[in-house]
Amino acid sequence: MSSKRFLQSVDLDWLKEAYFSNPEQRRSLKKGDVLMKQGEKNDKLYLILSGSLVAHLTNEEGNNFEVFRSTTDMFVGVYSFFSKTFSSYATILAEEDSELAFIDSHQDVVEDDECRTFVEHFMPIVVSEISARQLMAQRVAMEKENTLKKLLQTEKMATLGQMAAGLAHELNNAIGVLQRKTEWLSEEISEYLNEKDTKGMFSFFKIGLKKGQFLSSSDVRKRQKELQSKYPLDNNLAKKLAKTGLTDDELLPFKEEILEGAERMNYYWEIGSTFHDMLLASNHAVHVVKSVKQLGVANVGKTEDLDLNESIKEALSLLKSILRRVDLKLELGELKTISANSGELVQIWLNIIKNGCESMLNSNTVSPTILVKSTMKGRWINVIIEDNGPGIPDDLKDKIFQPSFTTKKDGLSFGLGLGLAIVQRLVENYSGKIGVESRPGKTTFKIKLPVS
Amino acid sequence: MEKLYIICVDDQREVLSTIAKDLAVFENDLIIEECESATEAEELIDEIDSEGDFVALIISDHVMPGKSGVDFLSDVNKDERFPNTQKILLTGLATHQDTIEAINSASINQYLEKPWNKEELIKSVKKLLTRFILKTGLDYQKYLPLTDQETLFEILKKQG
Amino acid sequence: MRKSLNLLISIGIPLLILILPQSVFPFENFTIIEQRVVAIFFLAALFWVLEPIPIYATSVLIIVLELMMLTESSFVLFQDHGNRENFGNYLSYKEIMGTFASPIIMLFLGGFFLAMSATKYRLDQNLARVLLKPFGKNPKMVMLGLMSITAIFSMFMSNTATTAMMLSILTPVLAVFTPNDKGKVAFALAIPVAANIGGIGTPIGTPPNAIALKYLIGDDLVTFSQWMGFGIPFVIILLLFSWVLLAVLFPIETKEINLDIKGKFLKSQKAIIVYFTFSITILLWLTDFIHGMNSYVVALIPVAVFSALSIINKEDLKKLSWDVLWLVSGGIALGIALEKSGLALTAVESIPFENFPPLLIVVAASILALTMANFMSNTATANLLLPIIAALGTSLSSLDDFGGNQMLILAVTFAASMGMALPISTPPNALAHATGLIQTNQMTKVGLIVGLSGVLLTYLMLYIMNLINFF
Repeated sequence: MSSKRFLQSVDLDWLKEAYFSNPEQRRSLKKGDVLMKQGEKNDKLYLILSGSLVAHLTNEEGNNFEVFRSTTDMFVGVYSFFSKTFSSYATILAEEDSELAFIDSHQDVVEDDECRTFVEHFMPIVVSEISARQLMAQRVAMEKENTLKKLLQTEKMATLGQMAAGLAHELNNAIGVLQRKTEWLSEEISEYLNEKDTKGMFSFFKIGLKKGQFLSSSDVRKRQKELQSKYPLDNNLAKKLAKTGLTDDELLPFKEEILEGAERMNYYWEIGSTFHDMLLASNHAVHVVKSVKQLGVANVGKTEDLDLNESIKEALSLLKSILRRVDLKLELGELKTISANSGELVQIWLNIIKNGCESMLNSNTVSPTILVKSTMKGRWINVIIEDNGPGIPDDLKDKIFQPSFTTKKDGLSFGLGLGLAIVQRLVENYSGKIGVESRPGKTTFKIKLPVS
Repeated sequence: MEKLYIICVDDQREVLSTIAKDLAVFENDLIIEECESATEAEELIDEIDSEGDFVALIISDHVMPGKSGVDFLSDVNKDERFPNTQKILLTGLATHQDTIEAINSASINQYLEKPWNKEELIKSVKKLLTRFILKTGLDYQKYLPLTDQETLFEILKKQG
Repeated sequence: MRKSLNLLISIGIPLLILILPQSVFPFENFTIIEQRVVAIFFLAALFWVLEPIPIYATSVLIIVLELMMLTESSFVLFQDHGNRENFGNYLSYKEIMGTFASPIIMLFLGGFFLAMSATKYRLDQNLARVLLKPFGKNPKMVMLGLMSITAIFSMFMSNTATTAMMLSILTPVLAVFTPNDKGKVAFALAIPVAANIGGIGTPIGTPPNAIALKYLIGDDLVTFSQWMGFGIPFVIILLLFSWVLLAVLFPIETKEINLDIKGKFLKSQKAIIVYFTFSITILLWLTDFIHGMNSYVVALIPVAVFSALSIINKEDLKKLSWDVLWLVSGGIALGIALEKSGLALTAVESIPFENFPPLLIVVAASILALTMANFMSNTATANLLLPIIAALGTSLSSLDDFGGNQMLILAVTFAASMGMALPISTPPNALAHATGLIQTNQMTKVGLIVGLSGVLLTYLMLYIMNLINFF
């Protein structure tokens, strides 16, 4: 290609006419025919009239690799001809049926108007051939490097996945014990306090256990000021009471003893809310460990003939609590079955839907709606998950699939930020594709998975 | 007498209340405030300052939605209203780069890693409160329960 | 190399003067004490000009040398040993030491307390914000606003602190100017010029004023309110002139300027006490003729109030500009030595000033002050010149028709504040030059024009004051 471009400055037609028009100096090659062999004699310079040739080199270790490829209007035998070694450094054979014209070392100079020498006629050809081959060598090197990089990345991810899975396995039991024992302890304490309860303090424990601290820090400050205006409480006590989130009505029965009682109320509430936090935290830890375990187990436990819609339904059932506050539109189409791990699919839908719901709820979107739609298109299953939340800011779009990216804000969401990173990995494991489009009021995740 | 404040910033409410609980030993001598975002903390310190009170110490997480902890502490560092305010970065998820940034542009006084050790936290807080009190020229004798003896002696000795 | 040479000259010449035989000096009845004062005076002048050591250190050195060489408690080699012939009279060591706490110093201390509390409770920043608002967004008006505020602040705060504050407000604004806009230069120069000019407005505005007060006593007394009576109009006129000058020399291309100063007035108890004390102090300074307390006494009121209420605490005390106080103390001590030893009078009398036209003396003295102030500290200039000028003023009866001693002292004092042609002339100049926006020749051009016009304006002011029988 580039050889041709160089030659446009030279009068190729003239050269052809002057040197390569002799019908006796022609050669035809069938596909696979060898033109010259590495190390063997060659004293001819060939011009390809049609077809294409490829050159191979075998090095000392016996490895064979391609050095160049030439097509119509390009020259071969340049090295052996012009270096005067008359010995080919590579093996050249026809890639397809080819027609060649040649000159040999005895060729006389053809006179032209400017009286140029033979070398002057052919110099542009030598230069352009050399540069074309150099460019090709560079391109090959670059491709090689890219492949290597990709390979390394894949390997890294695989190792990471295995490591994570191993880690998750180790943690699984410990977390499980914590979760069980916390549950047991909170029940026991609850019963104990219920029996011992003298001044109605058990109810504060219950409230704490049930809701935890549901007021945000700024709401607590507001409530603290409010309480201080109603009762003669100092900063500390008022804050403690405010944290419980008890309303004026709930406090009414204790109005008389609020000064002495505030400390105790907070105390019982705090025990309750501590258990609340511990339960949430251990549940969350279990969930995280489960998700991480799946990171490393691609292609394990695949089920044939899986209905993808079932996995969507399962994910939705796991998200029941959050979906109570969001309007759900479900449009599941007829799908072909897929061979996949159901748990992994659930993981995909779970993470994306949860993200969407949280972004809408955190931004107080008016009438938050989430659409989950599955359709069949050829051999691809398309799933669309769309919300009407605030959208992903442009500067974050590139980052959402990176591990440790988080926008989590409220409640117990120990933002590991693995969510979308896991999703991407799972989808890619199934040779699928994931994409996102986002603007304020409409964020769409599109997932494509192949059926076979 | 002006009031001293410790501001805790973390986007996870549960973590936030745990920090505050660990610092409860100081409750009688200063005010501990909890904020769930850097923006909220900014509004709060603004208010504290205009009341003429002191923001003695800020303990902030780094990875938070919106403004990051390091950005927040850098802004405080640049703010001439808080020349002596001490800063702790308390985080479990900071990259090497974040940490460098925290030291260079936020001039944090202490870096603590999550999960933290309560004793270590209290010790650091005391040390930094002592520095704040002396740097601001407050009468340390009125704040003795908040001070770390070792730091106190060291600074007083240097001041001559 | 250069530094040690400076040191050698600064010490060598005074030493030479000290060991010369008395007969060399062209004065009658020249005493040994007077000779030592000459040596110390030369030492002071050389140290202040060549600055081998910081200028405040020179002041301390002067005081210590005076104590060791001139007082009844001097070092044994410098005592008279009963031989009183031509020795002269000892100075009182208490008086020399007292310069560290002279009323002038107390006046400055009061000023420092006011300035420091204003900064601590952000009164300065907030006032700047409020006062700048009416000037709108037109760059020329904004520049006038900035200059006015800088001038007002530098009447009560140090010129350096005012410049630093205003430049920090200005820098982000200048960053949005196009690179070729000369307006940048105008703005960057406006601040130091206004600070230098503004300092003239009150006795505590800049140290030379305070040093002048030392000599404006007795019959020549000028009170705080009187000073402001002529100082403020002077500042206003010269400020307007400089504003026009800057706007013409460096036309501003930018169409609109948005100064964004953040903050709100603090409303804590202490802040309110600061606002209140600040206003009361200024009011008391202006009404000394009603309540009878002079400005020195009034100056100590904020010191007491702020200390008592820990508005200025001991950490803040450490940050006081003790160097400025010592610099002034040294000047006062030098003045005392020149006066009490009789040298000032001896020197003045040895030259037949009476024969010169009185107005020529005024012009020569003020131009000398202006020149010196351009190359060295304004305060040091005042320290060196004013004792001699004061002696000259009292001895020259030919000046009486034009305002006498008062007039001469004011002319020199004002001229000493007009030295602002070089980056080294005043700290505000140095700060503005450090912004990198101003070239030295631009500063020199503006500084010279404003300085000379200021001296001319001083003459006009003194002429009018004489007309209305102020003196």
